[in-house]
Amino acid sequence: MSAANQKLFLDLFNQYKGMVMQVSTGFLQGDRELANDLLQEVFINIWIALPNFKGESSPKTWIYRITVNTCLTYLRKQKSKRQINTQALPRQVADVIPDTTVSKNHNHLYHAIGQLESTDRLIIMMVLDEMEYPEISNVIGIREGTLRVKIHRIKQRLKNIMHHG
Amino acid sequence: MDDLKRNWKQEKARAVPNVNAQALLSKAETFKKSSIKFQYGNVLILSITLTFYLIFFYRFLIYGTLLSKVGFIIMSVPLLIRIIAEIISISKGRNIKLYDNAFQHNDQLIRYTAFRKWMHGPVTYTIMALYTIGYYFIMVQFAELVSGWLIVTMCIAYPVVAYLIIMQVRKGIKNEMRQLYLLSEYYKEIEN
Repeated sequence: MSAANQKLFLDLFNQYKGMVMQVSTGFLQGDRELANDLLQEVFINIWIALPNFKGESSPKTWIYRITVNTCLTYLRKQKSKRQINTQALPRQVADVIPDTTVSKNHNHLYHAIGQLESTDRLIIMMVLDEMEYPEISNVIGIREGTLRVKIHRIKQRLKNIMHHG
Repeated sequence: MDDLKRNWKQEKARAVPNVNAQALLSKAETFKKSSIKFQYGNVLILSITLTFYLIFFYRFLIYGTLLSKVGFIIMSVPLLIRIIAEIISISKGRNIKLYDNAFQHNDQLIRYTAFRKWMHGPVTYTIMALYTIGYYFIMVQFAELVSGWLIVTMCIAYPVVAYLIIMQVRKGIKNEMRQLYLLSEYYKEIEN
C-alpha cells in the first residue's frame, strides 16, 4: 500500500466518516451497531477502489456511490442469508436494541426512512443531506427528470409515514 | 421537509463511528489480500488437479489402451475449460466497479451473477457428465493395475461423491438465482 494512498484514505475517512455513518444508520433504521459494521464495509470498499479514483467526480459523489452500492449489497446479502422480507431485519434489530443515544425525534425519522424501499431510503437521505439533484442523479444513475418525480413520490410517502406511522 | 432536514443536520453531529482509522486501514488491506487469494484459490486447486492428472497420465496411461487415453482426455479437457471459465469469471468480477452509479453497478452484478449461474449450472453439469464417462473409461485399464476390491470400491464410491457434488452445485445455483431475483428487484426499485 502506497503512502500517498494511505494518506488519501485517512483524509477521506476523517472527512466523510460522519456522512457515511449517518447514511448507514438511516439505512438500518437507526441501529448504530450494525451501521458501524456497514461503515467499515464501505471504507474497506473505498480502500479497494482507491487506486481507481481519478477525480472525475467529486470525492463526495464518489464516496456516495460506493456507500449506496455497499448498502444495497449489504441488504441483498442479509436477505439472501436469512430469506427475510425487505424490512424485517432492521426493524427487528431496532426493536430488540433500543438506541438510547438517539433522541425520540431522530429515532422516529430513522424509523420512517426505514419504512421506504431500500433505494428510496438512500435517495431521500441524499435529499436530506442537501445534495443537488444532478449529483443524486449521478449517484443513482437515472435521469434528472425521473429523479424529480421519484423524489416527489418519496417525500409524499415519507410525509404519510411520519403522520400516520 | 424543512423540519426533517433540520433534524438530519442535528443528527449529523452525533453520527460518530466507533472505528479507529488506522485499524480500519489494516483491516481493509488484509481483506483485499485475502479476497485476491480466495479468488485465485479455486483456480489453483483446479490447476493442481489438472497437473495431477497429467502426472498420472504420463505415469500410468501413456502406454495404456485407447479407451483409457480417451477417458483421460474426456476428464481433462472439461477441467481445463472449467479453469478458463473460472479465470473469465474472476476477470468479470474485477470489472464490477463499486464506484459506478447504482444502476450501472446493478446491471454489472446481474450480468456477472447470470454468468456464474451459467457456469455453475449447464457448464458444471456437462463437465460432470463427461468426467463420469472418462472416469469409467479409465477404470477399465485401472482394473488391470489394482486389486478387484479397490476397483469395486472406487466404482461404488464415485456415484456417492458425484451425488454430494451435485447437491452442492444445486445449492449454489439456487443461491445465484435468488441473487438474480433480488438484483432484478433493485432494478425495479431504481426505475420506478
